[in-house]
Amino acid sequence: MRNSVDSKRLSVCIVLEGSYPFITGGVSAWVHDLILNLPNIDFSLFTISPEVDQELRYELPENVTEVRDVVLSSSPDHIRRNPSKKKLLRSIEALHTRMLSGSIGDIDDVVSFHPEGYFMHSDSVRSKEGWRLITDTNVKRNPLYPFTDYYWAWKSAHDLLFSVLGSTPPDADIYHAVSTGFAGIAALAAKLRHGKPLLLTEHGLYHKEREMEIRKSKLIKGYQRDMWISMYNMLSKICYRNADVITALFEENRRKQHELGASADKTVVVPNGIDVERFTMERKPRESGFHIGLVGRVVPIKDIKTFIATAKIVLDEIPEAEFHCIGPTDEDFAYFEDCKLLVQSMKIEDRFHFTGRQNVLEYYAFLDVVMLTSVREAQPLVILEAYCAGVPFVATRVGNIPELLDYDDRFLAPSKDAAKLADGVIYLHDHPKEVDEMRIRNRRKVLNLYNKEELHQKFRDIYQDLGNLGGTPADPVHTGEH
Amino acid sequence: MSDSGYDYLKKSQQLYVPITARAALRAVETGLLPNDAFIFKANSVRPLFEEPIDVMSIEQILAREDSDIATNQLLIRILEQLLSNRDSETALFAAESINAIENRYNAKIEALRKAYASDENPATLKLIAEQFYELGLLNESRLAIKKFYLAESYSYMKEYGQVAEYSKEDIIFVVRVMIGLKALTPARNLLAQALERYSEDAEFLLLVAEVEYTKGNFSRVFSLIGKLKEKWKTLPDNVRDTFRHWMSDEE
Repeated sequence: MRNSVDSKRLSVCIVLEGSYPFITGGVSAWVHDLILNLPNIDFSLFTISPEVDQELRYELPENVTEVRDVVLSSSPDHIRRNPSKKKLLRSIEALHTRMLSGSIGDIDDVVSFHPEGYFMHSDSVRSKEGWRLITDTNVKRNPLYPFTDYYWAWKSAHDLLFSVLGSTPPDADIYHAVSTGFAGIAALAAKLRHGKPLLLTEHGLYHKEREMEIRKSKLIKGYQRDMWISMYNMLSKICYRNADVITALFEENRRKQHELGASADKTVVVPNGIDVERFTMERKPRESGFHIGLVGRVVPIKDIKTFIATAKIVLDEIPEAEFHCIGPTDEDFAYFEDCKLLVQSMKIEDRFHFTGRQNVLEYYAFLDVVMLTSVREAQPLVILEAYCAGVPFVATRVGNIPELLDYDDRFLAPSKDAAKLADGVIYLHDHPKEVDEMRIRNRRKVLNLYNKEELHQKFRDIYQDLGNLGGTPADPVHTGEH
Repeated sequence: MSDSGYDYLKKSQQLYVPITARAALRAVETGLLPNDAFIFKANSVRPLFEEPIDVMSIEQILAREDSDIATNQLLIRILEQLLSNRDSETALFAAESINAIENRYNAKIEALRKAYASDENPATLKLIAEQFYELGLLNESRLAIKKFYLAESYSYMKEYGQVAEYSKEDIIFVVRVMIGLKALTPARNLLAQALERYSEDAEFLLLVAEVEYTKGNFSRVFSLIGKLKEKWKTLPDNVRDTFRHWMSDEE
């Protein structure tokens, strides 16, 4: 990690929530890789965390100058006084009125009356205006429910926002949020307060992911569920409306960003990319068997049970087939146990292997088909890796997978449709010549569209263009179609 | 009747609008809404499976964690249709919801397994078997997985049978699991033993008829039906209902 910011170098503050550098995963790996590959740019990290003193899960690259952490669960130590407190509360009231009437709220006023270092957790409930806001919204939205329930729901939702709005981000030329939500709002506040441009990158769709979590949660029910969902939706809308450039991984997500208020000329598709050299390899098919792999964690969202059911159907047609479930098994122990029992009950233990964490390169070299049976994906890198390694793919029709698989219905299936997935595998087994052509076509696709070097160049250009705008972010600087 | 309640629910952007008829009734009771707002809401019920599917209603039922098996089966049937929906968000909602229903069962099973590990109460084995059986019913369209769950259910009932004696209800349950697994000969044998023990019990006779029907022994089904007809006056209501269903209301 560098000690100081070189004034001639462009500085970017990446704003993150619950990911890099404390949590491993897709977004974290993406951020780490981006920082590593743009060594001429200084990066600071402004992280929003659920708890203090989290362990670093990555060795920070040389060009990371600072890590500043906002902890949502802890109360701020030092609270500045705010001379504009009344104006701030009135602007929040006005914002709620606009949101109640269905329009997207702008938070310019709120931010302008809310200085960094001021935390309004207490003022929001102890002031006359703050109290009126809570009681009014209760009467308008939830008159049937006990006020104490409503009060605590309101407070828990808003305290998180107050923590973010009061925090002080590192100085930077550009603020880059890698999601909407709290990270997006923190970056937007920095943009408005410091007059610097805001870049928003989305891998999935934050509000949709939170919505699914809330719906599945046992703890949040009824109107509280609706309150949280509508808050996350509103945060995304505000971020979309105010970011200077917004990147999405694929066109469908870009369209959804537009639906929530992102202007078309500010959005750009920047797909994932892989290290094509690393995944370019000589194929070493095994002498016997037809090998099908699934690269992923053994967790319900990957729907490994459907993979197992597919294996059973395929084995009835191709007895020499072998299945490899390649990925960690320690994340959801009960689910893994269930999957093992399912394999046993189907009497396919000798043909179905849970490998645990492995070097996937060794597997890509001999696999005949790679599969994904997930119920949710964004733009899975595993497809690009398999294509680059010359392995064809069969998968469920989720996220960007249809586009990656050229919308070819032979290899796409609705979620949980083991029979249709099995058809795709059997087709590939029965058409080796066509598979050879597919290998070439798929690899070319990755080289042309999903090369990591291109991704780095695109972000280098976006940063450069936004950096040139300096303190006056104006028109979009980098738009285009993927 | 004025249409102020209808107007209120359709047009109000600023004020409280109840989502369910129950909430509307409470709002009327507390004087927040006019009476006809409740009448409108209460009459706006439509069957869950009617196209286009009302995802919000599905969600409301999904939010209840104690739904019975019939409700869960209906939900799964609808959600499976939605898996192929052109709107990817709806398809995703369906897939996640199916997972959520299955996860509830898995969580219950895990809790029961833990309970059994600590107290070794044989009744817990039956409860686990029931949960697996219901999971099997929910996976009607995914045969391989259905068979797995039913096999698990059977193995728990078998374990139960080793430590306790099957009651009449237990035997009926085990036979149902066996029919699901297409283990018809063992089902027939178990029923033969049960008929000896419970001397020609009508419920067992009806189950034998079901097994024979599944095996394609229609003449045997016919003779069993004749036997049941002779006992008509003494048949319990549930057997009469099933009989009527099979025989198109004929007594």
